[in-house]
Amino acid sequence: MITAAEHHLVEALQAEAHAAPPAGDLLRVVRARARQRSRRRVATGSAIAAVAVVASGAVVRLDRDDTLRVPQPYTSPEAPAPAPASPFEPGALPRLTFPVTPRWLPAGVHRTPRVSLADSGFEASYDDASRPRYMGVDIWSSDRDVSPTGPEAARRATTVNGHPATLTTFADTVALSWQTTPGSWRVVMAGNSWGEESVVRRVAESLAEEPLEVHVPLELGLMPRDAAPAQWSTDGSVILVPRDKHEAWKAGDGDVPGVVLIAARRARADLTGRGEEVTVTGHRGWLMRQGNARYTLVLVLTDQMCLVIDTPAWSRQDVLRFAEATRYTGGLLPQEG
Amino acid sequence: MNASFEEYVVSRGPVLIRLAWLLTRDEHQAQDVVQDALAKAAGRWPRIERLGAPDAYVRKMVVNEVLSWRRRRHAVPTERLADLPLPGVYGGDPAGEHADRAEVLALLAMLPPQQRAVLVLRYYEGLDDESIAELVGCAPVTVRAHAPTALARLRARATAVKESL
Repeated sequence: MITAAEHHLVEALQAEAHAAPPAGDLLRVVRARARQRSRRRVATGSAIAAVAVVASGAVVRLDRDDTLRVPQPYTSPEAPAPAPASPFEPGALPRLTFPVTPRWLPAGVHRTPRVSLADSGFEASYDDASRPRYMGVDIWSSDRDVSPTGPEAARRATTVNGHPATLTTFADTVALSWQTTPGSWRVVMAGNSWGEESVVRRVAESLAEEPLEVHVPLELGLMPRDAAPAQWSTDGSVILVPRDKHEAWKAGDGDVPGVVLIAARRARADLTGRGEEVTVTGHRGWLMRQGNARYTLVLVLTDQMCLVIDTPAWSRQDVLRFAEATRYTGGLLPQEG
Repeated sequence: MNASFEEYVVSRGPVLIRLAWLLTRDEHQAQDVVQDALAKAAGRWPRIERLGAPDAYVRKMVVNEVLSWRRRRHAVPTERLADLPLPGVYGGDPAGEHADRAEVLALLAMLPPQQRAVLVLRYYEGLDDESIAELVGCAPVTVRAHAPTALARLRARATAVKESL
């Protein structure tokens, strides 16, 4: 017998399926991608790029070194002095680092990585310098082996700097994974034209156990009390979690209280008629109260970028004060996905 | 390209995209996963047809793509944020019954990927535990363990939402 929760889930999934993206001219795209796959092993990098552009149906040439700056930067006021009972205090994001530094990278990938800390650990992506978000070399520091899995992943034993290691080949991706100490994994993964054992091995052997300082393009004048970043990305997002709740957050408990999420998104926002329309530091936005009493504030930065601030059940005034002290300092992000 | 493969893409492509969409809740990733799976299938279509269940084979490729390295490739901190109901930005609607639906979907998105896949395959695709286990690449007993855990979270959240209204 189906329960109420199951019935609710069935209804939600069936309704959401209607919001799926259109298939478009799927056959044409699949033809192009199939051709790309068959050519990839013998094609030059430039030929691959041309096919990839055809396959994606769009030419997107923006990358992190060619960003469109936000034309109307925040004129961030001085952080307002918090009221005694306010849920935040004057502060700033702490210094953020990636645990290791590669001393060698192949030609053709960005020298500055996109870095994130997420559920699977730290990831530094040295993407294809000519195509945004196109895989080049990824380096992971994690509590688990995040190398490719699945029936098509071929694995064999090897060593890296004297450590027992595993070399995994999965389609056009090659990964080398090993533990520096029990439970502390390093994984170097390369794809596309860099998907060669020689590339991942050379990057892996060049890794120095020295923190690499990274920059998240968010300036915070106020920090939630006793909170610290649990997840973040150099794409302009951070999730602040009460220090004593980090383990619960990491365990995936969806009901962790006190979580604050801030993220710049490559998205067009128009919420006219929904929520309360507000202006924060000169930016139009909408403040919405969620069913669980959390607030979500969406600010329009440009016609292609918005800033999303999701807070616990603070007062409306506190949410707006926190937003006034928050500033996105990055540029136009690449298309998501 | 094989004619029967082309027929398959045209007839089943939208269905595969809906499945990938429910598994990823990411428009671009859903399209990319399906395009990639079909591009891989194109080169081995005669062999896939000989196996006798091409749709099951391709569907498994899609699920594998979502659960394996590609998911981690996109595992940036916004993965949870992206799934919050943000009407006008992400297509949801905060009003009335839609808020409940958005909450359910937001919670679903916060589950570990394998648990999420189990629920989508069971309650959207209507598959039994053995078929889900085959698709997800785990034992049926694992499916049976995942489903109640994930549902318990859904029930707890649904109750909390109702009490807050």
